[in-house]
Amino acid sequence: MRALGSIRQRECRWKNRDGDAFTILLSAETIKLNDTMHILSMAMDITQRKRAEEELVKTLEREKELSQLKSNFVSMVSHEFRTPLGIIQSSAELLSDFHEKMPPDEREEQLKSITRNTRRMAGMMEEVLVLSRLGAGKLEFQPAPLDLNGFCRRVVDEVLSATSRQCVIELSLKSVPVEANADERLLGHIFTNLLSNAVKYSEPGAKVHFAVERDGTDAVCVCRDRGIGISDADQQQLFEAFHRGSNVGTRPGTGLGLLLVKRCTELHGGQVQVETKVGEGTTVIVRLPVFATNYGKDIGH
Amino acid sequence: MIIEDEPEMKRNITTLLRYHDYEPIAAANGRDGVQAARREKPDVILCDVMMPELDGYGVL
Repeated sequence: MRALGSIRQRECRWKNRDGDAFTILLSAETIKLNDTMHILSMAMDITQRKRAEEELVKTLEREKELSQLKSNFVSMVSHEFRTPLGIIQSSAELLSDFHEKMPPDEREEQLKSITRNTRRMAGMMEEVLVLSRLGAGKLEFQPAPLDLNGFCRRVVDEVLSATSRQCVIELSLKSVPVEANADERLLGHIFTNLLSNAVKYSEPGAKVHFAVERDGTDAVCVCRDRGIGISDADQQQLFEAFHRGSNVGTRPGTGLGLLLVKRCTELHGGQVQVETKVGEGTTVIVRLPVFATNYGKDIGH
Repeated sequence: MIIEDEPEMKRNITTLLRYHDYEPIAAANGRDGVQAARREKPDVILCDVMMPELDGYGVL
């Protein structure tokens, strides 16, 4: 104070006796009274105001993200939805116009095309929907006891059948306790996206490894493929909505999968890490604190 | 001739033309398309725009 002379409206973060942080607005002045120096100071507790400010900034960021999502959605729809729609439409027209001329195996092939592309569109819609629910904060983290071993096997089976067993998925479960505390729906989004990505970007017949291991209170889930990998430039935009790698070719996709994985992992209080190299493959490591005691008290709200 | 990278779309356009008594040939990207066009000299080329290797503008 002697050196400064005065302090004007300075924000200070202090801790009270209980260790709770609070913010005050401090002003102070040195004044001379009867030839002695005095300090006149005023402090105002602005903790509530700061909290409201932070909340506002967060809400604003969420809004921005949501509006970007919407505008990206429009341009994605024109690219990604038109292709399957065009196939469905032309297949249906071929069937109706040339039904008599068409040999049975060709007819079968056209019907399969319609089913496959309808599924593809439904899958994309689902991804967009889940993500917008996440963005709006409508998908809440609701942990419940879950048999992680059985759950992993089930997801692997589902992905195998959804991808027509295009790749081999090797599942390894090491010292995973019978019961985890997790949100089954969010976990389903995480594992399904990791595995279907790994299969999608691998050569047919290649191996995909999926290992889940306990590390203290965490479940460490590692999904490794020997697929096309992600370039350094694309890695900068790994979690950007609708961004897709420059080397994906004609593989269908929305560019939402990894973002979905990240969001669902964060709701779980976990972390995502990606190691990848073009032409060598990609490894995604998801760490989820599903074995913590009194888990779920302070996360996700 | 059809130049189209989406396999099912390529198949459907080829099939449609075949049933209308044309003799279509097809290529899966711009580069192959240009090569095949030089070789086969088709009467008409239906070309996609967004394709790997060489896009529709590149083909033109």
